Amino acid sequence: MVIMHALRGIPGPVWRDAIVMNIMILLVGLSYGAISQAAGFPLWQTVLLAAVATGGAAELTFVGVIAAGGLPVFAVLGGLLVNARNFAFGLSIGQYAPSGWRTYLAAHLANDEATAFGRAGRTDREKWSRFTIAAILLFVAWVGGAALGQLLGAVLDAQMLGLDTALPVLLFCLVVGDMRNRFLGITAAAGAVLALALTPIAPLGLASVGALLALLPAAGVLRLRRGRAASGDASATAGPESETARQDAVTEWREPAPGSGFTGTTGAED
Amino acid sequence: MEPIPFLLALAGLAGGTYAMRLLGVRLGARARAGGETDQAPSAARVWMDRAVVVLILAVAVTGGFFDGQEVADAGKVLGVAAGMTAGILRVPMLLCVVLGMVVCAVIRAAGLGW
Repeated sequence: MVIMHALRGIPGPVWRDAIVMNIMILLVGLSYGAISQAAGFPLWQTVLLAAVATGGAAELTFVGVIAAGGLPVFAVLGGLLVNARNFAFGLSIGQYAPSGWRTYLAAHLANDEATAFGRAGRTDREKWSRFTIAAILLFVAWVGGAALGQLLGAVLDAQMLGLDTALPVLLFCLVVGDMRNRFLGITAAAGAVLALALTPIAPLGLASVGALLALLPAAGVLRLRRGRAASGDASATAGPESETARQDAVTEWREPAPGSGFTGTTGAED
Repeated sequence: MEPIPFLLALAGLAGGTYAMRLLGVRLGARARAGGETDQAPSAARVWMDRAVVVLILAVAVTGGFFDGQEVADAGKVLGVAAGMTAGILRVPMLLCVVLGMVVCAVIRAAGLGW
């Protein structure tokens, strides 16, 4: 009931975007199911893994380690490392998720796609309803796709269909609109380069978390620029220090934000 | 896998993952400034939002260009690159994904590699 309430009054384009995104999640689920089947996992294990880990890459890592003859404990640790980034997504969702039991449900569904989809909303309410639709549809698409992939595993060659390219391209499209903000674009690009450089040496899944280090120099640059602006403009120094910092951060961020996020890349602005 | 070891491993993965997620959501809720909803976001929120973009991009490029710790095969790398380029050129998302898959499938079918 409460979920239905959160979903009421959501504009059509949001639904459409969420459905389009989750058709692709379904494809990724298919490829996971097929891989899991090939690795010798029975249907119930493939589906249960998808439903309780709901991480995408974490399940693939788990299945991959077992398929390669690794010990289950390494499969678990690998999956946990890959899922560690969901902590940061949780931080983002916690900002706008209503308190109470919904927090516990939202926590389970904190993942890349739903977080990216949710944050494109303008208000907390909008963010929460976007997150809710995306997360619920994602769960259905991911678990359903996994089951379907397992059943079709014998006839479906996920590798030859190139299904493994779907998730990276999808995630990229979810944030490409934000990269048009010069500050954030440069920061994220630096983070991406850092993550690529770390991948061959960092343990599974930690390379992407290492990208967050790019935020530190970015913060330094912003502080420098703020200092310069403050010395040039007398009115900027009038407010308390933290207040100017906040304003600066906000204007830097806000300027291209509305509509430039997820909806912009699907051409839903019309 | 055998049912019992599988269920134990599953419990470890599920429990650990959920704990990390819930901790994140709880801390995020605590960082939320009291009462504000549609006002200008606090600096902490702005930075957390930036962190999400940085992280998602990093997940996309590392997952797209690597298989584990090895550089991925030519099909995947070029397919992902094609899909991402289309995304930069504001091609609708669904087409970007389909383009990436098609480029990848063609290269793999042709047997091209590094």
